[in-house]
Amino acid sequence: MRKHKKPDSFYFTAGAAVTGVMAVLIVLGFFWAPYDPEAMAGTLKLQGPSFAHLFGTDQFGRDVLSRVLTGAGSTFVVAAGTIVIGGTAGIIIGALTGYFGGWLDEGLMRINDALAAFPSVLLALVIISISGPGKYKVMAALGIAFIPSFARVVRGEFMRCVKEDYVISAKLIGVPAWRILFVHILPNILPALLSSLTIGFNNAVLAEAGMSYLGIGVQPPDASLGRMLSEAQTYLAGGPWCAIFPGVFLVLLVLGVGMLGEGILDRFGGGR
Amino acid sequence: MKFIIKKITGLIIALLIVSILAFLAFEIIPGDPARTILGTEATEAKVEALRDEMGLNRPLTVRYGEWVKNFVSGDMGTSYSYQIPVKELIADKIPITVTMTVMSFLFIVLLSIPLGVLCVYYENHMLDRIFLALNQVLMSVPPFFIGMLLTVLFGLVFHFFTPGGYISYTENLAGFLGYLLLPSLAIALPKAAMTMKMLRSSMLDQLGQDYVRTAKSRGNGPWRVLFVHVFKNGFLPVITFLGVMIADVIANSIVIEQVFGIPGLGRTLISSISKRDYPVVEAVIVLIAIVILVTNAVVDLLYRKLDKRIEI
Repeated sequence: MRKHKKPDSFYFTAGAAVTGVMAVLIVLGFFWAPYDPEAMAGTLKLQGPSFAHLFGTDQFGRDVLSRVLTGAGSTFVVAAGTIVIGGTAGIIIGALTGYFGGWLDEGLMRINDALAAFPSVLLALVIISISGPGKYKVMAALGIAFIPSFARVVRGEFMRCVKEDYVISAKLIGVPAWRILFVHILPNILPALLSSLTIGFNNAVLAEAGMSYLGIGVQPPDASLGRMLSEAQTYLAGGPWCAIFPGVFLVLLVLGVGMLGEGILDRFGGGR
Repeated sequence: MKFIIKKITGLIIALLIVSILAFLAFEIIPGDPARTILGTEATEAKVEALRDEMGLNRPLTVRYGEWVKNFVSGDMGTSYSYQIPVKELIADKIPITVTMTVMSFLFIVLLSIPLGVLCVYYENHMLDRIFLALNQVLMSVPPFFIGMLLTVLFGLVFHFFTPGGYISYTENLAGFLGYLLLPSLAIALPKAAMTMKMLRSSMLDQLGQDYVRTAKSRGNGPWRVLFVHVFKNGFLPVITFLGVMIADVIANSIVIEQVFGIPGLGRTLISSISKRDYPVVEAVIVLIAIVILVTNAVVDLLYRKLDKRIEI
């Protein structure tokens, strides 16, 4: 149908390549870093990038590369946890409301619309203001805040599929509803779901970075890219590398996952 | 008409839901404000007396009604940490955040529309490709990082402004607007990239339509066809997108205020969250929610008005 095709294979390939490299670095950061990310060295304050310290050192003489690797790890954990929480709940709510419809759908979607109109970061802030900050609390807060957007996507896809022949046939031969929902329909909406999960992942990474930057996200001693950026702000003049490297790492991660998501939709997905 | 009534009912229901959730979140879950005020040392009898005085022993529905009535009449409670009415605390901060949001929005529209049309004109040429790549990168940069980069570039390298040297609108309006330029730009850039991408693909979808061929065959030049005919239809889906984006712009302004040291609503919100100053957090969040829900409803109505095809 579409006359103007996007360079789809490019998005998928480039996205997968960048995401792959970032994933390797993040996994590496869980097990190994060139230096102890917390080790301070008074003689090495705000040193520029060198062979010993590829990304330079910060105001306490800590190795920026080591901190980026560990910080990216916790950013990843928070974002992954967010989409696991938000995705699971969103799939269940979206599947039930989209498939069965009725008053349950009407009621839940009203609440959903009211919440979805609200920026998820603000919703997460509300939860954080009550629960207090911290790595796992941020994860839970963002996870809950992301439920409406996932539920909305999944619901739309299920509503589309309910009318398909294979679902009607499955109903006729007496396949139980839960099986139709999660074995028959779910695999068919995978491209749309995966693509919205990648968008959710990126939003979670950006939200966590923003919250940690504001000092109400991940708390010390846990490292995070957002917190590194916030600490680096005071030293922008004397050590711009403290901000640039974590920032660029963050951008590359989001860029890679974003392109991968678009590639998945272009390559495997139907119409939007 | 039916549509307008339906939309307004929807808006009222959404506002009700938000108010109930906010009431539950800030008035019920955080625990007993009487206990918080008196501290853990106070005797149970004293706490009970204060609870009575504050009206905490009344039924929830009565308290909710009271809370809504007070909020609507402008009484948003008293800040725990400053001991002044929340209204006074946030009143002079609202213009700052509103100005910044409007400026960001102007940047988004002014950047994305001409560049989007330009990319359609030069589809698949070098210029289009460069902008596509640039867009993809810009969409991935958190606004606060753009803010930091702008600070380095314009503040520390070019000395175009003093980082952190916020100028109040009561002192110098031009200086105030000038200081807000870069923060607004930082919020706008990623969103402008998204809008531009959306406008581009929406306009490209239109190019294959019959009316475009007709417009061309009647002797309209390519620019005229794009700007007058294709843009009119291609822009419609973007309107809905822009409406939804207002929420993100406001959310991002909270973070950007911190980067540039702007004493707006966002800073008040963040410091109140750290201090657990619930009345302030509640007021700011509910105000933002109202603004977002109302703008979204207005945008929906506007869309309906502009799109002649779905007029009933």
